[in-house]
Amino acid sequence: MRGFVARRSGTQRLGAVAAVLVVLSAPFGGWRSASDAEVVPLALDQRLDLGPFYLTIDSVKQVTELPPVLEEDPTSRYLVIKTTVTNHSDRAESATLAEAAFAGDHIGILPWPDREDAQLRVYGVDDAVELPAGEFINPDVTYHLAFVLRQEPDTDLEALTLAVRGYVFQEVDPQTLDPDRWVLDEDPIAEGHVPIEVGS
Amino acid sequence: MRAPRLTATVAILAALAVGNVINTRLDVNTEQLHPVAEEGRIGKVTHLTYGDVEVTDVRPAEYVAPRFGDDLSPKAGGVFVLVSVKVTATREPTLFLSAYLEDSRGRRYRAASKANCAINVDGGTGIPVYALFCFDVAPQALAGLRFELSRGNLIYSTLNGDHLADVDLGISDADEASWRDTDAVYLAETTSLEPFELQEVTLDQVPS
Amino acid sequence: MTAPTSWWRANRIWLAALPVALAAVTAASSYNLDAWWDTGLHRELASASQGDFAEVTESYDDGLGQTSRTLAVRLDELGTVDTYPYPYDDPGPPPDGVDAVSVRLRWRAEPDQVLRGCTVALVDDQGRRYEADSAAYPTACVPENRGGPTDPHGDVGRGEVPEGEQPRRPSWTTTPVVLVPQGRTITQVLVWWDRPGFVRLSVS
Repeated sequence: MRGFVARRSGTQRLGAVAAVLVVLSAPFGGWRSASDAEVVPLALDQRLDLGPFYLTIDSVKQVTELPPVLEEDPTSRYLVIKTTVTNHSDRAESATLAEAAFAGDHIGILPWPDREDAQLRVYGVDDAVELPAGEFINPDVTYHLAFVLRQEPDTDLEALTLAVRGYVFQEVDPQTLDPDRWVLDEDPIAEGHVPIEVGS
Repeated sequence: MRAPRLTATVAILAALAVGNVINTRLDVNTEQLHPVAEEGRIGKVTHLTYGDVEVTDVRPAEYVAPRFGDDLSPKAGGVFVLVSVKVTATREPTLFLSAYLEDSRGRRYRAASKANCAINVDGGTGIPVYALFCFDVAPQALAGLRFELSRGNLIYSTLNGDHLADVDLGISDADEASWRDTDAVYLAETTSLEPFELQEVTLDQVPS
Repeated sequence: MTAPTSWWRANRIWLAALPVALAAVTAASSYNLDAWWDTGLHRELASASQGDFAEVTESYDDGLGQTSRTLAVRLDELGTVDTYPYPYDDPGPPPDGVDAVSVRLRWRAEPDQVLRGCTVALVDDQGRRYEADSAAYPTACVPENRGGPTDPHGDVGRGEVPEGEQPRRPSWTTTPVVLVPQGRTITQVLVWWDRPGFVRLSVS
């Protein structure tokens, strides 16, 4: 390596130094460090800060039907995650941010017969209205939202774990030219097993 | 000869830095160029270069009932603010794409999709269109709300430099105090070529 | 030995080229200017007075590459009608203070010309433009159910008439209706397929 550098002319060395400086220097974008917070065990009534939203899981239930919106289906069960979501940011944000925050293991997830693309369906707890795709949650507004997924009837609920991830605010994304976006973090904020009530 | 090389290096770095600054500061994809606001008040016509905008009514609701079918009525997380407007494109057919509220802190509110009210206004030249916009707003942010309407597209942030109707809805602190407890239910409206009267209804079914 | 040349004199050719280069750079990055031109009505293809045919040839690109359309169109008459075909409602009278203005157009073209998807607009004496709603009038320029070929797409090639339809006749009439506030003076009828090109028919 030393020989290689020694054989480069002065111009080439200067050029190399310049290139390194360009790559490292903050004015050219730099790198934004992701949050380094540790993962906490998931629990009910625990308020998590996703970035744009506060999210609290109020209850998790497995039911055979969810009137008035979901009928009984002997080939599956519904896992209903009831939450309280508040937009604590300064602008309207898509409700999809709360939906996409969820992940899980040993869920036994089944597709919805009428909607191939969705894993979670989102309903307002207070009005039973399914949230339209693309719905926004305005600043300081709180919704009680039920996230529902369809699962195998014999899913082992004791083994089921959920994870909630948060978002990092990205001011400029050089790839999409789409500024001021929330980008989903790879690491969860909280994960683990929460007690799941089994209903009729 | 060191001097020319050093000069060249410094010149290259300086050019790169200047180029980066230009690209960041003059990025046409950000809202650096703010829309030009034309201030207005409820009940008065706001004249834009391409259209006339009049907010004719504003009132609160707890639920907005769908017009048709047996669908359930959406409930506001905060308070539904129902803004009735009369919009006329004046020079050519115009799509008024961005309709939003701004509160006294400058925060922006989007219309509630679940309320099934108007999303935008598609105006034929000289033909008034009547529209109802429904927003879900936190109860403590009601006083001082302003309604904003323009051609620009909220998604792609093309409000740059465009003329925007900026209408004070005249919601006072006293209004806010009484509105936050509203239990009113109205039928949703979208857009119409005929003026509409908001219809208050009672819900006969409460979801379990 | 002559005196050293000044920097300005030594670089005079490049200095002269500099403003030209700057203009070229600006033009090259002015995609907004391109967009403005392409989406407006900036190139008149043909014009005629009411009662005379305008002969039109327009080059354009379809899915298979460059092609053109050739046709003739004549403004016969403007009138008012009692009902308007609202796109998402039953036909009914126009709103108060508004006329439903009918535009009778006579057309001539070879049956293989793609003429679907046009827009018909009226312009008044103050330059305001009123357009036939494309949802109310998808066939403003061609006969309904006999509109002739569509643009090539998928397996459908150029000049192919949709299945089950007869070829279009060499001449026909259309009468799109446009909502215009009462009291406006219409001076022109415009027809276009792909902006910025358009046809102008003046009202007498």
